[in-house]
Amino acid sequence: MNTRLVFIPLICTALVAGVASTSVSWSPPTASSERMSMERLLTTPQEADDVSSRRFSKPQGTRNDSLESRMENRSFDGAPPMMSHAMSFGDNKSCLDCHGKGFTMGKRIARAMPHAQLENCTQCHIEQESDMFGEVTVVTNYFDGLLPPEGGTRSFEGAPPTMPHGLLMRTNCLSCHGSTGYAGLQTDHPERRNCTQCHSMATPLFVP
Amino acid sequence: MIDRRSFVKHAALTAATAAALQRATHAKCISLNQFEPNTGVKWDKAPCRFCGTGCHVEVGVKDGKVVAVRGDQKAEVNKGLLCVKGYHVGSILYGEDRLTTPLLRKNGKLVPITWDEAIDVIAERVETDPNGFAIYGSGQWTIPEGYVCQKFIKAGLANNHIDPNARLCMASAVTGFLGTYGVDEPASCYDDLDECDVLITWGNNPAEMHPVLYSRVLDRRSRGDKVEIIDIGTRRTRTTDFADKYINFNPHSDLAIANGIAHLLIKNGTWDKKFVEENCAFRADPASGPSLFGDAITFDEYKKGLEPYTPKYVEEISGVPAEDIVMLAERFGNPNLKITSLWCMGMNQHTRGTAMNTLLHAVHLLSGHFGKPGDGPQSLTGQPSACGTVREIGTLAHALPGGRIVKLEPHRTACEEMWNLPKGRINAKPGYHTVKMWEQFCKPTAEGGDISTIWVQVTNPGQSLPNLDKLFNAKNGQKDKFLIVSDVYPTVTTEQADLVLPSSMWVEKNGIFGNSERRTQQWFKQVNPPGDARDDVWQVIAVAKELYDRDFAGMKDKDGKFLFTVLDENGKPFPAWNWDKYYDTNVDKYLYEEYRPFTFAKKKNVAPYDELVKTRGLRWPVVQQPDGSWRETRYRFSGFDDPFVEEGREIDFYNSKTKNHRAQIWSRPYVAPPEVPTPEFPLWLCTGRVLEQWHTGSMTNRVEEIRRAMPEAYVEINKADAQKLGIRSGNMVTVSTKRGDLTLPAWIGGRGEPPKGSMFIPFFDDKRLVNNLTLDAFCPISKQPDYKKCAAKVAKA
Repeated sequence: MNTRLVFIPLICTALVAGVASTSVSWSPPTASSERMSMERLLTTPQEADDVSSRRFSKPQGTRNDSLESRMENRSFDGAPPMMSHAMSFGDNKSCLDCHGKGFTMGKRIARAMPHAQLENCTQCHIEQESDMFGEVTVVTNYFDGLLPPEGGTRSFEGAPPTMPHGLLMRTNCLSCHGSTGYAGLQTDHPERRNCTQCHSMATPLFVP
Repeated sequence: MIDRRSFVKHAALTAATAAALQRATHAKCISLNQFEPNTGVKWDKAPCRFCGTGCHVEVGVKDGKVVAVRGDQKAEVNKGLLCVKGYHVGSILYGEDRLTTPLLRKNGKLVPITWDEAIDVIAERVETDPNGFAIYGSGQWTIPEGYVCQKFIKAGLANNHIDPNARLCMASAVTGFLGTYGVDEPASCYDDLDECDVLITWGNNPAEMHPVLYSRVLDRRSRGDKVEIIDIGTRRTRTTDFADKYINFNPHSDLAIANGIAHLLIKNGTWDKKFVEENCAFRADPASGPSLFGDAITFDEYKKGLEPYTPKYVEEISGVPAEDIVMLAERFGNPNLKITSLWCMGMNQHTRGTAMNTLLHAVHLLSGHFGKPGDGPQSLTGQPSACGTVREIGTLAHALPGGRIVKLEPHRTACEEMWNLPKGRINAKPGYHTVKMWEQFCKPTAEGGDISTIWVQVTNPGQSLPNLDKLFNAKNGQKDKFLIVSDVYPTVTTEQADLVLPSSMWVEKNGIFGNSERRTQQWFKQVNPPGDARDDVWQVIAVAKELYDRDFAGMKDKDGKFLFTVLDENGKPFPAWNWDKYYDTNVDKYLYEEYRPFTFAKKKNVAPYDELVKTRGLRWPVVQQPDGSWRETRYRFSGFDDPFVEEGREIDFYNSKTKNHRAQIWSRPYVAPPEVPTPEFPLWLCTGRVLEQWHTGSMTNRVEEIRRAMPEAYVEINKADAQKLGIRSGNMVTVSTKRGDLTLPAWIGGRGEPPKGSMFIPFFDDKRLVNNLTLDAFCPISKQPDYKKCAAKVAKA
């Protein structure tokens, strides 16, 4: 039997029921904000490397931990993440070596890009901390970026959760939800590739 | 600094927590149909605040503040994509040091004053010396902002002293279009990028400066299209990384390359005889010197002018191997290829900028690569409304709205009638162009410096003018000179200002921009400006009203009515000078609709405001169809698309200067640059921009993510030169020219790679002003200075 036939009624039920039952709420990344500042103060290669190892450790921890760490290198939910490593200039194409399909080496994880192949990576992704310059003074900015959404909703225990976010620049679900994705966000059925078959979008995407 | 920052971040997160908790509780009791993951976020459209590409963003606003930005999938320009600046455009509103109150210099210090006092001060400056009062504006002015300033100067003060920073940016492109087609602005549009077989970038680095447009081409490749990219430049850049072929030329010798291509097209008989015979004429500068419109010449004279430019001769001048010139001529000589040329500052900031612009048009016209999708020259602009405001409204010392000029009596008369002015009000004498305006401002009054006050809006000349000591800093200490600056952040310009006015920016106000492809784009105010910051349009109208109340004749029309009378939706006079009521009606819409008829004369018909509201911009000419709908034009002068083309013609240059439907193919020789390396100053110095930072960085430098990635200026030096001088990457070095010195770190093998004998410094850093070093020589026709080449030396600091 086609799995789609099983799930479509479930989605319909979810739409009709409209009850959020098992959503996990997003809690504040206060501890991490201190860690982030600490990391930025570190300057020696050794210390920097330690930090990188921590940041790239294998997916473990809770969903909230993951969302916190995800917010460390972007200005708001939906902003392109900054590179948490130095880049070798003049070689835009090498990004795909690791970020094309996702890559794990030891404790380090390079996540697959979630969007279709776009050639000019550095157009959106810049270095989080330039390795070219010394200490940088920044002007305080009161921009208070949008936080990640809460989890999707289920109409009943066992129903597939809805997607709490849009799909703009997020067409490869496995980037975050696959084996090199984020702890607490990973799917337990990565072999099923037609994600939107069961997981419907719970957000209006477009401005009218 | 960091402690404070982390405290603020912490505070912000605590506030966010409360909001998040509130959301969590709230989410449970809403039905799935209404579910919005980030409840309370309202999304609306706006064009990006930065470059001339004109991407549209969707702005997410929550609790009165911008919280997110996403690429607008409905926008044809960017189709949902943005660059790093666009994604962070929301943060530029929230730098801690936003200007929030008017400041007047008293005893050397800027002290807060009220808006009423500020308006009085300006009105007094005008009354004291109306002929010495100038406005220096910007390609970042919205259309209504540029329009009120234009009217204030041309109709109100009638001294014509208004010029924009766009003079430093695209003046040569304007004179190139005027000289060739008899009218400004590109015939083609960005759709070319989706269609071209060959893309040629002429002294242009779109991978960093117009990334979304460059990606439009690059991403076609990843979908399997074949596009050849040829990068012709004086420095290897990120654009070069993606190019199939890089052609390096000696600075300034692009004129010889263009002539070399034309030479071979004629010699090989591969020029498009039919296209040229039907649609073109030939033109050259008169013996008296460079001229905007020049004199007619014959085809034989044109051919004779090209004779010297054999591939070998071009190689001698430009350093480009003869075989590459042959290759370029083969591309242009192939009628089956669709070729798009892109250019920006490399060709425009050039002491022969007008000549080079006309020569590139000439190559396209001569080869018939024109007027078809994918096939034509497309000029890029660096500012969001250099086209929409400066070029279309004509906020230049010599121009009037809609492509008119002050020198022509019929043009003046037309404007006087539309503005209801007494006959003869508009002055026939052009005002001062940018370099001249600042020269006359900095020169002591006793020595003939007849500009006493400049009101600067939406720009930062203290950083962006060339040769700053001469053109900006020399004003210091002159008591009878007065500098007014309307801006959003403190800059090196406000540091020297006598009066600083805090302005609203981007989605803190209504606005309309016009991008590089003739697209007019509108947005609505979405958040409030901070403190007492107010709209630039209001500032100008308030000063005009104060002058009107003081019986200043220029602010009255011929019936004695206020020049800036605004009517509300019901047609009743509206007090637009009263800030408390300013948003009770849509002043932007009223001014735009007042301006719109000016655009009809040269068939640049911009769309009605209400149509702009509905769309992500429309490309003019926008003409109403029999069914009442409004249709934009992608390919101007092309019979298949442009409604103004004469019936039956494939191509019609209906604004032709020679009034015979023809565009001009120019003959212009290579001329040596005004300053070349010498034994004392042996290296070329080029300046420009970088991906992350936008122009003088006054906005982008307030964005933490951007500032950390690209915090300060550096000098790129070629490896060979660095080795010879014992300079390593990261060493502090001093770069000097005849005009000044600058100490900064060297970057070798960095992002860009200047060829041997040259250096590059970006100009965004307000602590390291490279324009203390640059040359103030300018193109004799466009008056645009050359920031791209001067002679310099470098040594370890």
